[in-house]
Amino acid sequence: MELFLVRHATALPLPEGAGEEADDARPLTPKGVRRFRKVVRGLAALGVELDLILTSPKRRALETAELLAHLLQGEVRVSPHLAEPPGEELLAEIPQEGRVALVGHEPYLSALLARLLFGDLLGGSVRDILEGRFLLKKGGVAWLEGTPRPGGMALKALFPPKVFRL
Amino acid sequence: MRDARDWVAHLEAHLPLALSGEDPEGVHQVRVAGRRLRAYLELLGHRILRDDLRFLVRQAGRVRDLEVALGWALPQGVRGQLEAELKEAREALSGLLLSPWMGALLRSLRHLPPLDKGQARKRLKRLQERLEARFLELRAEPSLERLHAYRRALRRVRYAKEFLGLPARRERALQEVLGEVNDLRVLKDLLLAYLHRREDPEARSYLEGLEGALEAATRRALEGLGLGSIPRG
Repeated sequence: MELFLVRHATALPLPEGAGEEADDARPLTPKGVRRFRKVVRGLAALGVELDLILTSPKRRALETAELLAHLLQGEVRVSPHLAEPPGEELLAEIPQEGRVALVGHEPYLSALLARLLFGDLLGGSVRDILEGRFLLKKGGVAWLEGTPRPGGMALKALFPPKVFRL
Repeated sequence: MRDARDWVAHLEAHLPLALSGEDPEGVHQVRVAGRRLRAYLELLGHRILRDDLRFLVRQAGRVRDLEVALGWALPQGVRGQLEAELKEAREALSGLLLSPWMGALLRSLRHLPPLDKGQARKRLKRLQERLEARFLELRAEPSLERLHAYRRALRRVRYAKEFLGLPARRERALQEVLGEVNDLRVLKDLLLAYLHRREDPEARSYLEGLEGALEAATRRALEGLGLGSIPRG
């Protein structure tokens, strides 16, 4: 299967001292929307089509998923597990076949990326270092191929959003 | 209520009643809120959350169908079977309503953007065109399936109009008439499923009476739409 890890596009900043409810409500900025549209166009030009989008329930992720839905042939579903550190529940939600996009947040997506690539083969200290080496920019996309289990996937491409603005 | 936030609050407010099963209104209102919010998403032109809401409405639909069916005077054997099925369906629905997914869905719905009135009116026009297409299909070849498809399209137009503060009296009145047909149709399907599993002369004779009532209700609904009757087949 093919898996696309997509970090939400640029959103309005969180007002100082605001809580989780305010964080959930942050929309994308007009610039974030414009730039992510280019990411979607770029992915379309690469022939990317999606069977399923799973998205975090935060508004900035939902709005990113909405833009990404131009590539969608199937369903979009909200997942609580994309707004928390990645665990078994999230892996269990990913189908074993098809082309699936997960729209979420950092540092959870890069932690998931490291886990899908290297699994539990590495020691804790190495894992911590690796998680910081695969940071996704806002609106960035990691394209993986394989089986969605720890250590079961290979990295096909890692796109910062500006690649698609060239 | 014209604001999506009111319907999200309505959905949340009826979850405890839907979970307790004390009053069929609980599950009914969860479905109503789910459908209205889907109409709101259509007016927004959003693809997201529609599949989640459809799933919620469908899962609650099984409980609702059984609760409505049990409101009729039923033969004893049928009643016992449907009560057992309702217990199972309620357990499944409770699991869903208490799941992390439900929490995430509510969290998502709380921050829907306001409607752009100009865009929303254009989308309403598309919903009205779809309703017109369903009507023409029904007129060309009346059937229960086509009547059901028309009813669904009608409901979407009604909810969309209400979000936009437009009068929807005709849609509401038609929905009432078509709702009676739907209740009888659902009961008939449940009865047929029951009779498929066991022989029950009392239920068989009840089905014959029900078919007559369904035919009469369908005739009234079609007349209300200015159409003829469904040919017997």
